[in-house]
Amino acid sequence: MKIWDIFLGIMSAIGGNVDMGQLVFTIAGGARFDMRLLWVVIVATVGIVVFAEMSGRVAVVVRRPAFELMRECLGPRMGLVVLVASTAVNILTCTAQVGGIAAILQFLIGGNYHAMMVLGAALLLAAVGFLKFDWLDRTFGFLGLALLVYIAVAVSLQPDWGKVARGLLPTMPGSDMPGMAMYAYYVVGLFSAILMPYEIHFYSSGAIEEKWGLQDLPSNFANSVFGFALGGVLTVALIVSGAQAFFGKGIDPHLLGTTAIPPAMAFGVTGLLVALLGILSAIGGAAVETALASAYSIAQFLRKPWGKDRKLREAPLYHASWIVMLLAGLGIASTGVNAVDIVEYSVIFAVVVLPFTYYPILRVADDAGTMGRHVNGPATRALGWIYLALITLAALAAVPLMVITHSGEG
Amino acid sequence: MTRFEIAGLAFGAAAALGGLGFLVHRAATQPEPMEADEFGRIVRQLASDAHESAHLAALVAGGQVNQHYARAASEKLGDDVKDTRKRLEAPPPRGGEDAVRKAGELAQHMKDLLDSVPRVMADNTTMKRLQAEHERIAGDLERLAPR
Repeated sequence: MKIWDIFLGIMSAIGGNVDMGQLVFTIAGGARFDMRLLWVVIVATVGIVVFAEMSGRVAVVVRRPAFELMRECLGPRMGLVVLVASTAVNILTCTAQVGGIAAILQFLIGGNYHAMMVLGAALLLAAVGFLKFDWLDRTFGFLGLALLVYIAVAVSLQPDWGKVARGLLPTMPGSDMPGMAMYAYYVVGLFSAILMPYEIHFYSSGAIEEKWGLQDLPSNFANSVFGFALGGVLTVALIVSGAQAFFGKGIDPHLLGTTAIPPAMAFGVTGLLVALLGILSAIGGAAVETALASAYSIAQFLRKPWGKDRKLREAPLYHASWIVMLLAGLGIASTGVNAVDIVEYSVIFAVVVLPFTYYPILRVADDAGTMGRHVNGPATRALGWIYLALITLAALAAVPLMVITHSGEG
Repeated sequence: MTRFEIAGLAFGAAAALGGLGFLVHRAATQPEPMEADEFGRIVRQLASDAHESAHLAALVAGGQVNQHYARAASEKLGDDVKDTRKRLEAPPPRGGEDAVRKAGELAQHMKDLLDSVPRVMADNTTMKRLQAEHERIAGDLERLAPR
């Protein structure tokens, strides 16, 4: 196994954990609840590692990606409902990323917001159009590593490490924090954002794109564990940075630019620029992931040819789908809608489709007849079912919590 | 066409008609006065923007951010203040007319200060004055929030 082999996991994880909304939501979580949401990151990261490994293993053994299994498991009607819902969530997420890319380009090179939006979308179209799949995940995964600056920021802002350690265990919000409903909203939002369905659709299709065989199962394991664990560590660093920079200071971060303030506080202009480059790569990666995840889902659901490295005439529906997704993102973002608001809605609504994404993977991975000696072991099976129960609980609670907390406004 | 598809179509048509009726009803009725809770949310958001603007002014004064960031971040904060201020245009809660008017004035003042950042960001003394002014606005807004 080469070091390059784990960039699929890194891109999936960074694009998933540190997309536009997740970035703002996570920093805001630290600003509002100090270290008391850290345990959610641990719980959700174990969940995404378990399911990413499972979806990659199923893709390698059965040679079929997540969405095709979902259609077979739930039937075409229910499958269609999930396809429409997850495509809608992907369009919202992609729109937010396009708006976010424009904002970051403005922070880096100045210029007009709408011009930067067009430039950002053109760069994304060129990247997806011209780069081979493995170079796509290597490029965004590698550049996204600039976000590791947040780990240095978290350390440099000198948190109380005892408080950080206590945050790794579930605790109630303090009297100087918003109430229980808001806390529950952040717990569900953070949990859902780390387990976003497009990460799994992208990852399992990516395993097939990269032509993984049974000999690549160790690589699948390494990708799942290291890639998504890295995403988890980054999320912890973001919460700690948000808490140290904003908790108790009356600032409720809700703009993308605010998330770059902690690196500027810690390391000045250099820290700010490195963080902005990392954010640009992460949300660029998330835009690519959502566009491609939708293209995979649509083509796989309709049983049409798909594949990033196939020519346009060989997989016309697949290629048209990702192009339309990116252009739709650009079109909606151009209307001036608030990108952060959009993505917060998409995170909460994504929870509702989560059980339909994860259940079919678990069912197939548990089936000894299909998986042979690669079937889930007892520990993976138990974890899978426990997480499916947690995901279902989160799905039931998401929308009521959004209404009760006025989408997190209090 | 199966019974399932007919039921789906009927449900879709009923939902579309219901939604249209709701929108027509909303458009035809007088806007409700703002609730005290909603006013509290708006004021808290404006106060947060003021604190953040003060923080940004301090970073600009200390040379900790680049010029493009200073300019664009001030612009985005200004847009956010403008959007939040628009929510104050709903009829005020009973007895809260003065507080709503005062919050609107503070928001406008904050927006003016943010708009001035590109012109004055090279001058550390002015940026420090802006920081103090934003902190004062934040304090005034927090005092307006309903208890």
